[in-house]
Amino acid sequence: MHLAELKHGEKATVLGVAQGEAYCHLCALGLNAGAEVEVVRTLSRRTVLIVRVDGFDIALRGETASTVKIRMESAL
Amino acid sequence: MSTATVIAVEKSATARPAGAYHTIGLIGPPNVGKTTLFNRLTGLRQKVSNYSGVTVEHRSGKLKSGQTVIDLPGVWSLTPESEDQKIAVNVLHGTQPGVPKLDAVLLVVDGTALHRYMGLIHEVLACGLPTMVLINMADELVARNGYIDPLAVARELGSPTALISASRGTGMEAISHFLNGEHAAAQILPVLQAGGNAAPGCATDCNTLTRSGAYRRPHHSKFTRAFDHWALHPVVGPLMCIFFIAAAFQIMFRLAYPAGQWLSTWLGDIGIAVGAHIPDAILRAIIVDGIWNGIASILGFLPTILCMFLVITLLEDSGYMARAAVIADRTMGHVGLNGRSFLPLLSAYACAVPAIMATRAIPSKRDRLATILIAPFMTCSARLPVYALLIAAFIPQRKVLGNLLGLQAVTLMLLYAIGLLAALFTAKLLHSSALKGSAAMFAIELPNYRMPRLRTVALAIYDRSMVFLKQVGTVILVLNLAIWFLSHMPFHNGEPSDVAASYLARLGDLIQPLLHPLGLNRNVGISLLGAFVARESVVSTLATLYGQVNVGDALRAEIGLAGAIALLVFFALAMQCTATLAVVRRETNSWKWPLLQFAYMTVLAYGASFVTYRIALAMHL
Repeated sequence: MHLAELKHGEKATVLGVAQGEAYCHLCALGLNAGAEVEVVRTLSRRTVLIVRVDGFDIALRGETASTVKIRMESAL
Repeated sequence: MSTATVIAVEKSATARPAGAYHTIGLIGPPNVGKTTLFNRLTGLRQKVSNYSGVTVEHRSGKLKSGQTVIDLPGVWSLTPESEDQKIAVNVLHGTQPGVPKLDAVLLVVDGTALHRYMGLIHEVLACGLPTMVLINMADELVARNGYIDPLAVARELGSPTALISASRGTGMEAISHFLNGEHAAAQILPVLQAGGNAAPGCATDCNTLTRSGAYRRPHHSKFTRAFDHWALHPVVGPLMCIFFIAAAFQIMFRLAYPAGQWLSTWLGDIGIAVGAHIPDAILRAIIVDGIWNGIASILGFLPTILCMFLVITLLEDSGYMARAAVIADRTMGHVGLNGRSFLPLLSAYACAVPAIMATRAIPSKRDRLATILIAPFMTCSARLPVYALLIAAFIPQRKVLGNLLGLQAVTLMLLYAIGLLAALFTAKLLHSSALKGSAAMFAIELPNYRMPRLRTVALAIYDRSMVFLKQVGTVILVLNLAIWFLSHMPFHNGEPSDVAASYLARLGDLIQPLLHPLGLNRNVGISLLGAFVARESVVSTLATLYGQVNVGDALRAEIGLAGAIALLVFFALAMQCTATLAVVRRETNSWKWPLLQFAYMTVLAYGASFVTYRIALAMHL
């Protein structure tokens, strides 16, 4: 599954970011394999997500978030 | 951690000084205080230019000791994907034309998020240059219950490491020890000197650091979380954003803009006073009216631009900028832009020049170019005097919408709306043509809020203003002089001619057939040509041309309401500003974009003005 599918309050682990325009930028924001992510807020009907990455908050568009592959915490 | 690394570190601690380095590269990701450190190290001994052929800024400066520091573009990795990264890699490898080979590297990272930078640290160390890792914001890390053992980190990395605070200036001794090839005294700051800089093979990651107890991430800031609850709130968030913007604009229009006008007038008076001592009339006119008044008009811009940079720097440094970008993102998304373009576009309401310079914060080149191209459509402060003149002369003071608003105020709002609509239309057009691409990308860090520091803010403003004065100012000056000569030549009997008899007036005659379909006359045409120096000069040029007659009365008699509306529309859309042209040239590093932009905006302005004039005539206005 990908980050855009994560519901409010759910936690997951990043598996990787799809190659593309956003790749470098997202890695720089801490969305590397192994990072813990949690959706702490959704704005304007999930067009923008506020995601806590290893304790730091970032904001990203839903479309951008869909390039980040994740694994649910519970599945670990 | 390998034993070999420890030995290398400890052995080098007793090694003899290798001698001072001459050329030092400063590298690090964006927003970790790299520029603050650069400013602190080099003070005002800096030089800013562009790398040949690209828009990437090349900064270098001298240390007090005379060593050269090159500030490399902010990069997150050395994978050469973007122009910035390519240049950073080339400079590190000593293959960038025009840039001397580096002897040593200072790598700056943010101590509050060290785990994010491990990839970059290893990539830089792998380049094999003597490198010191500077962990910035160490004070903030400790203040937020984080922990770092620089000695352990240095051993992990096999490289000298120091904790610094670029904004407070702590840890600078360690840097100079390193740069002079000495190992620092451990009692000042724990700094270790590594022997060679063999690539550690990227085995050390944050987990190792955390496990070895060398690094503990800071706790999040409670204030930031609490403030963000409201700053990103669906209702309160936008209101807060509007409040900050309104406050900034109040300062701009109440203080900065009048201050600029005053400064310009005062400098003009000085010019006249000094000019009285120059005997030759032509020489006096060239020096006083041509050169000095050109300088005065550029300096008249300065308070507005300084104020704009102050606002931008404060918003950026405090961390609020990222929240404003998030709030605005949805709206910007409709025209294919993202939230990061919001603030530059907003600043363009004061002046397009600082706005275009502020687009540097936009990471995507395509989005940045689109923002630069649409910014001049925003109604800048220099358009206001012309709007005021025409509205006062042509629009009656009638109440509309049930006495709620005056017709004049509504007209002014419509003019702002025309500019905004043109900007949105152009953004949409660019998005589906020249700058096509999936602009769906938007991701931004929400940094902790922090108090902006006076020194950082002051240096940032100084730096931007110098860029404006030196690089934009010179272009404006040359273009202004050209227009001045056109409006005062030919000389008769050693006296410069009147505007009405000048080459500019002849140009006005030439373009008159073009203006006729818009219902405009020769005098308006001449003033529009003169407006390239400064938009507001339309008012003074018209006053000169009409002599004793009241400009409003003269225009009412000559161009009528339909012509006036056409003129307003033309003025709202045309790119009549040499300063903006100059800054676009600088920021895109080519004449291609400013000339295209100029042509596009002129055609759009002409077309819209023509249609408006015809509609107005059909309505018998």
